[in-house]
Amino acid sequence: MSIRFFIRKIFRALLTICLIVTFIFVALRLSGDSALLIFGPDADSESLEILREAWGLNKPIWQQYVIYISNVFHGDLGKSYLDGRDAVEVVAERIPKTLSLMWVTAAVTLLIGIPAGIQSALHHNTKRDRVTMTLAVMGLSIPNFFLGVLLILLFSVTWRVLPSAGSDSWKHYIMPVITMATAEAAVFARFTRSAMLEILNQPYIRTAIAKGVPWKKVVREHALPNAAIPIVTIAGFFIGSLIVGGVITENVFAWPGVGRLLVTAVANRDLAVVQVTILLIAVSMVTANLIVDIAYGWLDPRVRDLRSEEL
Amino acid sequence: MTDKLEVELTHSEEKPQENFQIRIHRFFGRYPPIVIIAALWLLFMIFVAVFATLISPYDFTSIDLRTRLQAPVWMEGGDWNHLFGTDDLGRDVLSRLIFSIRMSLLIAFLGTVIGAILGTALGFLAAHFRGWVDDVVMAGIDFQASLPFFIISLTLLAFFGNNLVLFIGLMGIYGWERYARITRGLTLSAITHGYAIAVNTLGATPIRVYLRHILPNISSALIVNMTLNFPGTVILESSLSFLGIGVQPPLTSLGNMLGFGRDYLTTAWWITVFPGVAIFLATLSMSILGDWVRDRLDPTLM
Amino acid sequence: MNKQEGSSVVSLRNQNGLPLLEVTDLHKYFRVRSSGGLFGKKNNLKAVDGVSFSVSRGETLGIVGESGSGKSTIARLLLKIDNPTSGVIKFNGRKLSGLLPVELRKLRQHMQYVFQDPLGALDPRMKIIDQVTEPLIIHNIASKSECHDKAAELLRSIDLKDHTFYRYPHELSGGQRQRVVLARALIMEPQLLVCDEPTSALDVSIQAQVINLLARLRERMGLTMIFISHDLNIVRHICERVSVMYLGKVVEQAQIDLLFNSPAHPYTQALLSAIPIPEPGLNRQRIFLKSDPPSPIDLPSGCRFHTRCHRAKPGCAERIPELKSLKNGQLVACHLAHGEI
Repeated sequence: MSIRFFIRKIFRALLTICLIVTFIFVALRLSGDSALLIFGPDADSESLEILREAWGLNKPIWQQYVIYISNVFHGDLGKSYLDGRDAVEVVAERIPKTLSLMWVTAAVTLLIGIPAGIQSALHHNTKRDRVTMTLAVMGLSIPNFFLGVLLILLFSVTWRVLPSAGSDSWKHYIMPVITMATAEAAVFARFTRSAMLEILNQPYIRTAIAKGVPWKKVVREHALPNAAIPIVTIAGFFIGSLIVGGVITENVFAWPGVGRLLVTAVANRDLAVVQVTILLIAVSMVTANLIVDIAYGWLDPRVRDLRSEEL
Repeated sequence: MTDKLEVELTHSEEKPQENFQIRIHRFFGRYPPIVIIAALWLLFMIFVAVFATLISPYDFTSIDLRTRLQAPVWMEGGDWNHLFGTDDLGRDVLSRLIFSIRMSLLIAFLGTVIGAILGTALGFLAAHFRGWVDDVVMAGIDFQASLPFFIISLTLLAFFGNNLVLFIGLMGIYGWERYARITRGLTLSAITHGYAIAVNTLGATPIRVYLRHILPNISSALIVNMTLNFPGTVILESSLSFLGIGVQPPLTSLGNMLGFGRDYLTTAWWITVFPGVAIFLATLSMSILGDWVRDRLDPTLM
Repeated sequence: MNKQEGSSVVSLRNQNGLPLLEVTDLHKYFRVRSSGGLFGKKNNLKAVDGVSFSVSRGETLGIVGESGSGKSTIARLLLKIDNPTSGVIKFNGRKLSGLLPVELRKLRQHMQYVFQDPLGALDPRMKIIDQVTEPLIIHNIASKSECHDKAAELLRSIDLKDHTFYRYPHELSGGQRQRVVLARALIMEPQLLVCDEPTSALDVSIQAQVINLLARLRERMGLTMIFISHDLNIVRHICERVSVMYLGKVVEQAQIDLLFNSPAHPYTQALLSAIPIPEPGLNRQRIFLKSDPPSPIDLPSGCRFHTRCHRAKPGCAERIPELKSLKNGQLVACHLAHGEI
């Protein structure tokens, strides 16, 4: 892989993170006096002054920017005003719960979505294909918060078989995972199907069939590996939608993760916690996208060359 | 010069009279039943939204504590006064549903229109000026693509607080980058070769070139994108409202209704289920319609 | 060409001494990035490299060259679709470079362009009649109904039937489309018409029709034309004077008869030798050019043509030959023709 491709990708990723930091800074300053925002309108002027001093709010804007950036890189992002602890700490302790939910969901999504898509493509235009695709469209269209509420209504309220809130046992995972994985699996099924169909229409597949290669072998050795390449491209999108789905699902099921923390912080305008969470999400997404881009270039040399031209 | 087209034209006029069954068959070949149902449902929802004040039986804010949490008419305890039951404050669920549909569709509609105009205009600007304007627009596109928009909206709502105008503006920012990317790409190819240059050499102003020539030519791609974007906007709005950081009371939207009704899930499921079903059916029909439009107008687009 | 018509062209040409179009030392370089390396080296692609010529009123100048010789780039520079790297283009005595956008737009009604690919040049979503009417509307020349009548009249005069007026470009044949493009260019009665390979996208049988139509319209409207082609044979039918281009430079420029009878540059000789002669028995030595043209990014030293020239001598690679006049008025850029080597 060319070094230029690598460097460009990494440079872009860093640039994006800088942009996001700047965006948060601008939004924070535009939103008014941060000191007032943090202490609320009834704060006494003395503590306001202390805070302004501490955050450098009295200095010219470019100095504030420099201070802000340096604070961010030192991991100093302010204190949560809800419980007075370091915002980074508050967010960090929630990460494991969120990750555990996301891993399980990702596994379920891939295990259902990709095989469903492949089956659909292999049985293109049959009843099985149509049923799968109809389910996929429905799965895509049902908002996850409504699905979550429906599941609670059925399994917790009506039949009383599953707990509706918390994260203590494996039973607590079932409904959140279904809630999140439904739409994701639908996306994967649709995408895999179209990627597969495109590959199956390629001349080299038809050649292989014409040569008398057994169908199973054609699929296993020619179609599947090539269809895997485009599927990698939506991995970045997948991570993004897992994060969004996670935020909503954690709130539906009172899951004590980062998503629930974020919404509480937004509702209470706990800005320190909000900015830590956003930075966390941004960095993980940019990193994930970087890995996906590099993996993609590694999987498909054509794309790598084409992309470095285009950039 | 002999004209082939003329010959073909006279042929086509001599088509035999089609019988009714063939015509029906052709109609459904062009418009599958599922597409017709989806379109009818959407029309119905639009009708409900437009005439909300006329068809809703009650004012959606009117409280009647004597009839709190009354069940829908077909259940035990329900009556014809409140078709879909009442909520925790005795407000008529049907009326709230009607006004929620109006609010949600209005926000999604405004958001889609704002996003389309904003994105298309920025795409044109980027393609026209190139240089640093292009760089800025592209950086914006990259930025927006680097974070899920849901997260961006959460941040902005946290920093700026919430009001309806800001909220609608946010929905407009959602998805602008896709219009901008489509417009920029197609415009660039049109103005570096092809008809746009030709019109330019005729002495047309850039505005004429963009609005009279390029816009009609890229409109199908933009319309396809709008149909893909609309359900996304509905879901974004209702998700935020569901979490309590979107549309604020006393106004109501589908997500907002669902979010508040969630607390009464054990006693009054109807408060949450009706708006949920409404969102589901709206996005479902929009997706069906969108897939169909895409296949017809622009099969190359993902 | 008709004698009578010809003389009217001459009188028009002498109307005033000023040439309609004057091009001096025109350069167009494109920045290109060569692949490889960490950031890639930037290079200049010299598409047009020091071209000068002038065109009198009523005259038709042909520009001939292989693909990549810079002839289409010149057309785009003349019409100000692209801006030159350096050099001056004067139209009617006015420099194109200093014009405000408003002035330029106004000037455009006097200079028109006929494109190589008529399908690409027409708006796919607009009816034929509207496309032809559009220039009049842009320049606010006539009322809507007058515009329509004028367009219809022009279209009929170039043999387009009324029923094609309300069609879309993709519904017409190639020849019809090119006539629509012509009509759109001519409806404002421009002074200068630049035709960039107007027939190369057409079938051979239709090429002749379009060329004849062009010749007819030129006489009728007293047009000044620049006709760009890779085909000397077509150029011979319509032009009075020809410039032969090779890799961004003019290598020879002469009246059409002189050029065909006594080509002075080896490149022109090679091009002419490739034209089939319709008389059997008459045999001509075919000159084959060696290899493909060199890359315009990495040009050969000295005379650009020496790498492919059948008469090249060692000195050719050292100095760049100037475009100078021979005794008979023919302009040639070749050391051998001028007896310099």
